[in-house]
Amino acid sequence: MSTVAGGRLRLAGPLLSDPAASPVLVPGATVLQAVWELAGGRGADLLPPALAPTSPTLLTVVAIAASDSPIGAFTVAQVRLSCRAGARARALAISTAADGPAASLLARAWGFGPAEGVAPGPVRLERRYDAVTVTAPGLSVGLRDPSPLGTHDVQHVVGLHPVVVADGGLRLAQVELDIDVERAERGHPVLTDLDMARWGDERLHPALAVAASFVVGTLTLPALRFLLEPDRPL
Amino acid sequence: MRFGLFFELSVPRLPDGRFAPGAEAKVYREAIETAVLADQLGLDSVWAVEHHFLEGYSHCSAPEVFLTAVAARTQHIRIGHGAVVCVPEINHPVRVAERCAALDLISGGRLDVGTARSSTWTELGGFGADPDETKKTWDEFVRVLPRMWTEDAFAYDGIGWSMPERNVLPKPHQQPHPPIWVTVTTPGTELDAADRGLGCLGVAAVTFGEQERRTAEYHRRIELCDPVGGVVTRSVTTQNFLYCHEDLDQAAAVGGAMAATFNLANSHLLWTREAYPTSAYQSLGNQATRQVKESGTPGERKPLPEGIAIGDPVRLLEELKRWRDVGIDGINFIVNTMDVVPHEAVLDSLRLFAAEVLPAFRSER
Repeated sequence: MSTVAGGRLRLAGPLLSDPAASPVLVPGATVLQAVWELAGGRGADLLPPALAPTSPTLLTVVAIAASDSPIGAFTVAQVRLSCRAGARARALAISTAADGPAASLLARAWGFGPAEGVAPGPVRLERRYDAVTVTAPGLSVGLRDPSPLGTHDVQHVVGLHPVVVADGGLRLAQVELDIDVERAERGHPVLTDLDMARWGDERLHPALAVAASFVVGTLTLPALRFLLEPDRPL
Repeated sequence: MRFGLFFELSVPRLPDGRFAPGAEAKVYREAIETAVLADQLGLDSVWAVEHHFLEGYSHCSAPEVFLTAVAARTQHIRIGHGAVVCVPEINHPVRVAERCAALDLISGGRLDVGTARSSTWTELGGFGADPDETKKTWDEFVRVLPRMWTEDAFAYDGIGWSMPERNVLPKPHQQPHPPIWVTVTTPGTELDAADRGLGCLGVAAVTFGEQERRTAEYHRRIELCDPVGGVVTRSVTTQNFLYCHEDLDQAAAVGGAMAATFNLANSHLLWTREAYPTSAYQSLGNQATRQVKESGTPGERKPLPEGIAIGDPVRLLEELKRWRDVGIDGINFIVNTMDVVPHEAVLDSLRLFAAEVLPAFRSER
């Protein structure tokens, strides 16, 4: 059995000081997803006890950009691992960076952000005719040769964001993003730079490139409903 | 109404996540024993899936080998090779035709051939198959298999594969060829089956009402079909769990645990859509949770989902007759998952089912 030495992921996240109590609609949002299979390890060796692995584990880079947002413009980049919480498909965010005027609120309300004390870096999501690219310090990932897809053909899995709660404990906030997709495309994932020591865990490496998607639509940042204790098996 | 067994050959893990030495051999051995008993008890068929790389959930990657062992030890029960994954990267069509024909000969003409296209990224990605192409290649398979079984000089120039003229051997025992089925998970596939004259091998849970609507449309459409082969298989089967025990509470506890374990393992599979955005896979090909009636008070044990064949003989008779009444003419049972049910209890459950439930349906034939 292939294993990853060194035990489970060390999860960290921002202080959830202002958890979202009501949803926020963000029109004209763009979302990039680029998916690889994870090399050299299995989720079972990495994930907290509350989560079950998929086989293979998917490593996904997600980027969200919104220039016309009621909470202010923002761009987010996130690295996730596929998993299950009970019977539900979930994606565990192992690192997140947010940029723009809304970055602070995204961290406080939804856990979209780095751990406390980690300086946020610039995040850019750039769309060209034949490619989409997200760049941030230590990360340059994208999609090339896009072709049209149906608006219901892209699945965005519910995210689990590590957050620190008032008593100092770590929880996983269930962030049920919803996207009313107006346009969808699929292309080949492109990995130019992904410094996993900075973006989650240096033991992790993307292997087989699976697919990349890009959608435009109205994003709903949801009210938070559930916090999961990562060390308690479901 | 016909009844069969449906084997995934799931293997339990140890608490540390490993598979115990000998666990796979035990699962295979006990499944063969169960199939032999089913033959002796008068059940109609035994099906074995084809899955690859699905750790724990299904270690049935060479079902033709398993089914050959079953065929060699049984006399009457039909042998369901289902479903063969009709994706060229996973199975070359010629090899499928050859293996099926050999199995039909060995079984003395008892073979049914199920066809499918795989639903998980784990399998499609593992073989480098393109999810966008699997519906097309499945369609090619079901059209060429009957020709390879019946033509002495077969050549093909297709989308997924081609070959020069050859005589594909052996030819099957059944004439002109074994019945062909298609696994139905995505709504609408039952219409693909009907249009081609294929049987519906249902594996996804649906409500009685939905099943009735889809079955009626299937039967309407198959009368207008352009059959892909020399046999039209007019049949709609569904999949269910089976645990029969005199004591309803005991049945619910044991059988319910089996069903819950299967459903949880099923939910942990990596479905294609989660990895690869495509219009070719619109639904999760799973045995989704059946409808559960609302329970009254907190802490009250949840009732068994409607339609599920877990309970005492009286309950099973009621539930199975409801399936018959919505037009289903066959049910294939999962009788164990991950060793949740002790093997002797599986056999006892089958014996009780055959003694107390089966005769009510046999008398209707």
